[in-house]
Amino acid sequence: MAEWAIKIGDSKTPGRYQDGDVVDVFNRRRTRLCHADMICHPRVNGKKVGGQLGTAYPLLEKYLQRQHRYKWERVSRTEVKRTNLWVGGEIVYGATPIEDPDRPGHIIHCDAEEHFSFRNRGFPHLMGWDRAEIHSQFVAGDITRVERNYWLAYFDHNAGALPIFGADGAEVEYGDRMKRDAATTELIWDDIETDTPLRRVDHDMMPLGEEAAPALLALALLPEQAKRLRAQGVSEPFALEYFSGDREYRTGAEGDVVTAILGGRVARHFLWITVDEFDDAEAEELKAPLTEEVAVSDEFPDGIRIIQKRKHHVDWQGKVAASLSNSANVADVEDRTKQVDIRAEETFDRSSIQQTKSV
Amino acid sequence: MAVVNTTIGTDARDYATHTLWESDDGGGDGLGNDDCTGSAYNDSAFDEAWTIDFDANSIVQTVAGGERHDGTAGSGARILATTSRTILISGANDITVTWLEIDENSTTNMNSDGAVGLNNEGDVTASHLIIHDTSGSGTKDGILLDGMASGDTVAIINNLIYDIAKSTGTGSAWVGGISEDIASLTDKTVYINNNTIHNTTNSGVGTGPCEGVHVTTGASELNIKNNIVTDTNGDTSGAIDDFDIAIADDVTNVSNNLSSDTTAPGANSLTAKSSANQFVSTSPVNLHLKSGADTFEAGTDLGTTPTGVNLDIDGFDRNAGATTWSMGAHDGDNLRGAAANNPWYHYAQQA
Repeated sequence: MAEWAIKIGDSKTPGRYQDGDVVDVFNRRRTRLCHADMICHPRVNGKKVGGQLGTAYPLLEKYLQRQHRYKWERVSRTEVKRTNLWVGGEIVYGATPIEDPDRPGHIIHCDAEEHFSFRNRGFPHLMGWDRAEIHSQFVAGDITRVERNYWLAYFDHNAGALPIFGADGAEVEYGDRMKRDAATTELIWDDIETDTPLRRVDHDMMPLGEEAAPALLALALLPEQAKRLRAQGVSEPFALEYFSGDREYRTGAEGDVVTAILGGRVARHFLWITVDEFDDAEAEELKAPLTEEVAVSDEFPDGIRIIQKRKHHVDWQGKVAASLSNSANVADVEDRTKQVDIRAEETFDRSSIQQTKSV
Repeated sequence: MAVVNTTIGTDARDYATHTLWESDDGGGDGLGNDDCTGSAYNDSAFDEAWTIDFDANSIVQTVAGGERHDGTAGSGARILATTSRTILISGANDITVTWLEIDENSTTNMNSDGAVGLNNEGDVTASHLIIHDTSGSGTKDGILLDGMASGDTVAIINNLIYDIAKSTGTGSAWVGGISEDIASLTDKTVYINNNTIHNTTNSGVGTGPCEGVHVTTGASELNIKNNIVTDTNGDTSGAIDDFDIAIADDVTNVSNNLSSDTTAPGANSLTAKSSANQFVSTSPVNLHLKSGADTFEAGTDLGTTPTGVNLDIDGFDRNAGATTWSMGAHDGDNLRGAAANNPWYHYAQQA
């Protein structure tokens, strides 16, 4: 199952988008990876977790291990060990430059002390606090003015520190190239399904908001999972946020059931429809522009002139709207003040609705 | 005229992708009346290319406060490519692209516009971007300036660009960190200030050039100050230079640059300096300045022109303290005295 976002109405600027253009497309890999990004690297108090040494984020670490080429571990005050997670092999180095065995001719170095002091900069114990908590702790005299102002400045600017694992002085981090293919996506979801009650089959649609798709996702936090997380030093409120991705949630009477409301208002101004699955190469083709070949010149260095923003379009008022139930009609879709989400109603066969423009 | 602020992301935002935002005229009327700002959120990684060419009075493509990178990859809102991605700025009005990370993720099929292509009829600012990791054959550019209209100003400031590489393929393909490819810059103003460019590579035994910063067209006002370019390399038979600058028309605005070869142009520039003495780490890549960096407090004060030049890659205001500017995208404030390990020292001093 996959999705298309279809343009409703022509762009005002000539030569841009036309009514019915297939503007953006989302296959299963892209959609599941989008959910996985948010589930495995969630927010706490609005900030991405990470940079809190000594705090366990097992799912986040697995998620990074699945994707990144390198793992770095600090092995002394000034040195790191780099492990190639894709093909194996380890090297240890420090501030003295060495040749990179994976890229002959390239010099690498790492001053571990400076690098990790920068990574752990400031006041890591404040990470994860929100503004109100910072202010209250300052008023109570539990943190200093410097600490308060540091964190507020950091809070206003950064998304959150890159995840750091391990202990102070023996830090671990992951980085470099990332695998984002379908096979890796499924492995990430294997981990999610092992560690949480979430299931990939429930995450095959792009997350739309309550205004667009008032779907509720019920999450059951099993008692043994809560116990395990508590043993790892993770508080239960945090555990709930961890599994719910810090979205709005409610606890059940026993405190062990969470209902998360998937957020977003991304449906507006477009008609999102569900279609049969396509691979990544097809995805690029589906949102390709209509072009013609021209002589290579300064204006057209690739010898290609774009005529229309999109090559493929859909007669949505005819072939799509006509097959819908009473939940939405053409006027509803065209009304920009209304939120319409018809994705759950029908899966369209692309070959029956996809039209291609010609030069 | 209206101010239209919209959000981009996958967790309770206005648009799921930049592509959708751009195709909806940034939420504006598409008639040139609005000031449109689209702010990305670090909900999930973006994986898309888009061309900004809708009609607005002004356009800002940015990352929301609290969602920005910290000067290293993977720490804020980003494009994480599964096939090469380009942000092409090709409109008719003033456009700014700022604070995004563009991780080409060693994809191989970059087009001739580079990771960020500037081909606009209006003023353009490309700032506080992290652009990195191209691979494969063919032309590669981090930021490519290949179109300006008379009277326009382009500001390429406070960017981190590294590992822009052609790894295979003979032939004359060009590789550049920041490249200019315009027939004439007369009546135009160009600022290339406080950028850090590392490890631009042209391999594959080809014949094309490999340059960290390339500007060879004389301009009425060409500003190239406080840039760090190191370890430009490869096996091409073409020129391999950290800087390839023609400054015959205006030499007064070129100064305080650093190179690891001998090409850093202008007064007060430093040459033959090792990257290992400037950056904290190159694996993992952390191009913040290290203790004892030659570039630390070796720059020149640029005040607040062009807008945003005073904010370093961490968002630190170089004018906040009575300190001398450093070269490059990072000012190194964490290296100053009692504020060691705390790049937010000057913020923290606020009452």
